[in-house]
Amino acid sequence: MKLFLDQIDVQCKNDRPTLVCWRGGVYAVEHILETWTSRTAWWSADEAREYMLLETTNGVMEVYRTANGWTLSRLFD
Amino acid sequence: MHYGSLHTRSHFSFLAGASSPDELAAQAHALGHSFVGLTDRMGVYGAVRLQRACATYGLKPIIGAEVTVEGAPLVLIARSMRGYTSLCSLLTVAHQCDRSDPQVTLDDCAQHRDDLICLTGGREGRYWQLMHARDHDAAQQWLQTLRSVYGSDVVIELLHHRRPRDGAIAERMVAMGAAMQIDVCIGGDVRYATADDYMIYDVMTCTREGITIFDHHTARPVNDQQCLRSYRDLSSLLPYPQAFATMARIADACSYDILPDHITPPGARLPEGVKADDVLRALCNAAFTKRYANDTANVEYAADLLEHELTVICDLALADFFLVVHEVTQEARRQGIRCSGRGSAANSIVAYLLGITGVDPIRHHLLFERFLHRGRKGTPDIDVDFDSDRRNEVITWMEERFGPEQTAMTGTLITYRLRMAVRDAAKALGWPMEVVNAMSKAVPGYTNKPIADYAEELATVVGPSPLLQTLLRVVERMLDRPRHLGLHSGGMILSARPLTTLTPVQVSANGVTVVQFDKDDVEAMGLVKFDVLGLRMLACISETLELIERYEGHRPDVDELSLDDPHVFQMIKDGRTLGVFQIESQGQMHLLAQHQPDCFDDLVSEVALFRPGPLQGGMVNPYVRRRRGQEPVQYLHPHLEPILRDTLGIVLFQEQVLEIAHKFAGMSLQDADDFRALVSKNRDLKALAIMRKRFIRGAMQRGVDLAAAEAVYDKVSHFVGYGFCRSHAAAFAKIVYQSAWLKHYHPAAYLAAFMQHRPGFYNLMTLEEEARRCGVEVLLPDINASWFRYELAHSSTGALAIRKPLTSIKGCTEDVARSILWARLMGPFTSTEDLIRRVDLDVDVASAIALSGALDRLARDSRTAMWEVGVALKRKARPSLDFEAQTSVFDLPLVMDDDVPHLPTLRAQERLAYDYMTHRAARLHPMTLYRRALNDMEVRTIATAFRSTVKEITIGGIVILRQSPPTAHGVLFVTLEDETGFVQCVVQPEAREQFSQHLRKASLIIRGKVHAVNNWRGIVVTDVRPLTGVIGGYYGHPAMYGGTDEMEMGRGDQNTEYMIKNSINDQGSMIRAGRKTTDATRPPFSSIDLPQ
Repeated sequence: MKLFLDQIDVQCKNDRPTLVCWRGGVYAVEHILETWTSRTAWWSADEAREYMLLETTNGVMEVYRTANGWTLSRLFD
Repeated sequence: MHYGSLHTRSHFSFLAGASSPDELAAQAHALGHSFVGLTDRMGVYGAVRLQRACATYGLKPIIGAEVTVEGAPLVLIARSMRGYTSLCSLLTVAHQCDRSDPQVTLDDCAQHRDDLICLTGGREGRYWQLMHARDHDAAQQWLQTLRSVYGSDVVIELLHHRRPRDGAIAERMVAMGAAMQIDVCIGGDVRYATADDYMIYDVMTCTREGITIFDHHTARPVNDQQCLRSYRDLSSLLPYPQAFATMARIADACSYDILPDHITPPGARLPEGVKADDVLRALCNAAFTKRYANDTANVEYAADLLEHELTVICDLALADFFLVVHEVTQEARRQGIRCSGRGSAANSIVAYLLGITGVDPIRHHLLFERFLHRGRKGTPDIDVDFDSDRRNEVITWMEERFGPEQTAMTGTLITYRLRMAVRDAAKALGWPMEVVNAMSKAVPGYTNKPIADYAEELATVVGPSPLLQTLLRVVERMLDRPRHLGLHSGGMILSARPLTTLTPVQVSANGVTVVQFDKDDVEAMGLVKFDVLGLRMLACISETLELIERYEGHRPDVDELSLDDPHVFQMIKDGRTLGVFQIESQGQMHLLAQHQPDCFDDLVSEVALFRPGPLQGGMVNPYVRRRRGQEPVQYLHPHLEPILRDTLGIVLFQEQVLEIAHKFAGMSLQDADDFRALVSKNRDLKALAIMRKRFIRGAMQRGVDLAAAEAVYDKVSHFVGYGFCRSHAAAFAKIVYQSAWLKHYHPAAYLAAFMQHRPGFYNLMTLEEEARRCGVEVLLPDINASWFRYELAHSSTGALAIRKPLTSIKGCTEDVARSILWARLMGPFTSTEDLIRRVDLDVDVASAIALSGALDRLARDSRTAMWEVGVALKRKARPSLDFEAQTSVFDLPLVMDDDVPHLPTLRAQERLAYDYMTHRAARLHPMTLYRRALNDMEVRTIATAFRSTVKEITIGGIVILRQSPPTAHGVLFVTLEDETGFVQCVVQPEAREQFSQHLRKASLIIRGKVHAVNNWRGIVVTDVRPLTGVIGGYYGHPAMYGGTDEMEMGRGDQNTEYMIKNSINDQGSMIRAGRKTTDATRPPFSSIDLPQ
């Protein structure tokens, strides 16, 4: 498992991720393994995070979405 | 099919849940739920409110609790009233086992398991934790254990808060349930109604854990998902239809109503086969003959009234209640504990005949319906004041008499007020403590204004912080939420059946048992409350009577005084009422000067007039003018005359508001009582508007024209804020008279008892000055003559004087005083050394005793005594240091003649300072020492202001009171005292602003115009100067310092400070009122070089 905090692009269909674009690669989302939310700093307006654990063609990626876009959080080998 | 949340905390989980039952019910209703299952931590505190809220929203209330079982919570839900009783019993066991960490064992659960459903618990539950840790074996074992206790009533609780692995854990739980044939259900583990409430929950969690929102902590939530959810939302997260079906089945099975339509009265102790109604009637009839047989004018009316009251009381099944209160008051009197009924119960002739109250309702035209009537909602209160010193004896007796299972105190919800909310929120938001302190001081304790109005004040403390808006938002949401459960001041519940069938009973910090509901909830549950209140004035009267008996050889019967002694009324009219119950304040003295009461009924009015209701309603001046014949008595409408005749057309009492609503506006008694309560609270403007229409319509239906109806409504509606009911005023007026009588005829005994119990709000120095004004000498504490309490002694002139007790000396606690008295039983102390040898005294206490003058008869003076104490204590502690050759400390004296040099006698200023420091009042008024200098400055004595010719004056004195009541609209009242007396100075808002810096000083020179009303004088302030250099700074005004008699040394008086320091440095122990001074220039006590 590697930690990242990279900004990424995610394409969605019906609010469900289908493609993850990261460092020049484009990876198809095969399954959404789990979703959860985080909002520990509630006093900060843009802090709420919606996490997803995605099984992609590049392995399992933990990503999250905030008001500012998508971030790759962790990559599981 | 039922859907809702079975496992829901409200803010009655005290900092572990964020929403009220009403908010939960409203949100549940909005989400389409059919029930709310309230399961607060270790209690059912919100059960009554939940049931009411659910009734409002058409939901089914389900009551349960999170019960900590061997370290982890289970959710127990009552299926029936039997289940509710089991739950209350189990919670009682938990709270009585350990009040700081209540919990139960599985054995306890097994004993109290009837009709309870056991959910395995939420995220903090043991089962969830084991499943989270994937310890499936232990999880299965725990389920088996629970099944052994609860059988088939164990249900696995599923939850999903959109946190990592919530879904997977639920899936494994469902599989385990299927494998073990245990039902699964949707629980919820809800902590707040909506996601918006999450921030409050987080701040509360931080407050609970003592952390800030920037700290990581396992107890803090990670998202805002522990809220109520719709079926659609939750079923998508937890796709287990069988779990929803089980939830519905549980909800369906739960059915009960904890708000009965009948009351649960206490059980009177009666012989077999005897009815309470008959006993009550017999007791009343016996007393009736004694009280009214010779009162030919009233006997017939009294008999009718008695019959009416007895019928109502018996119809409402309250005979037992009256008999129980009668028994308690009788027992108190038998034990010599003074008691007096007050409040609306004094409107009852039955209460009067039973001796519960001492006021004749016929003589004082009291209205029974204010106390009780057939339409009354809830149970009536009977309030009885007991000698505050012995109130606990009454409570203990009641617990023994009625059984601990059937008696407990009513709880009080301590809710967030502005200052406390700002404090907790600021701490949680991470401001340092000094900033938190400054912020909480920047706002009032309580407010009706929007919190945003205080943004500026708070900004001046914290500057332009981005978190300030967050703080305001949080505080606004925290206000009025309960923080913890407190103890009602006196509400004792007495029940005929065990209280645990209705409520858990827990233990308060001082060991008193208390139910989990406040007085409103208690009343709603049909429980009967008896207010056992402590009144220090009763303790004062009791002690006065004892002192009179011991020193004057007789015991006056103050309960049977004729209430018309002209000497007593002259004292009252003269305003010499310092120390008299209820009429000793400066405001009351001013009113006395205007009102000039000369009969008991005037005292009743006097007591009632000086309340927020009459004051804010502008009723005081018209009443006084009419009473003095300065304006004619008029009525807004002739219908009012019978109601207001004896108060000269003015609305003074609560009963009159009720009677006007009932007789003038035609409301039912219950509606009239509601109207009275609504008007006095004056908060619900919408309800008031509706009531106004009803009032006017009702009056017009009775033939009153619109203008008159509106005028009467407007008059009555001005009776806002707190006002007395006539019965209460009459009960208090009797104590006013008794205390005035005792002060007039037995000033030494009365003031000694008054100083002992301190029922008023003047500081000790002022009380001692008052004693001297009454011709009573106040003797200093004396090691061989003083006792535990204030006592009387014969002065050198043979008159009775007050002897200050050992406990009046700073640091001389009851234990220390006791040890001195025990030692003194073997003979008086013969020297300072003798005292130090026979009593084990701490250095500070021994020094305080020496400095107070208590050893002056053993040593040459206080300074010498102080020296001797230092020598003796050192030698006693380390005998071998100086007497190595001696085998025993008793072989040589601790203090020898050579040890003590000839020390200078204390100067007057030093003496004064030591008096204040060690026994909180000087033998001489401080102003005396400066009179010559003040005369030179043309600063006059306060007595000068009382000469009739003086129109403008400059006076100087010590501030003994500083008050700015809300009813005064910004006016500050400062009471100055000098050696000739005291006077109230009125500082108008403009002058207050102009002299605000000086007005904070402890002593002032004030110039102003003299305002005279009979014997009363006030000074309308035009100029203020600080009077520094008098004694440093004495501040005894309780308005700012909580009633302590303290002195601050050295402020503005370098000379005195120097003298005191040097004097004390001689022996090295300086005691300062309130704390020991740290003085870097003086050597520590142990390093003093003793003379060899």
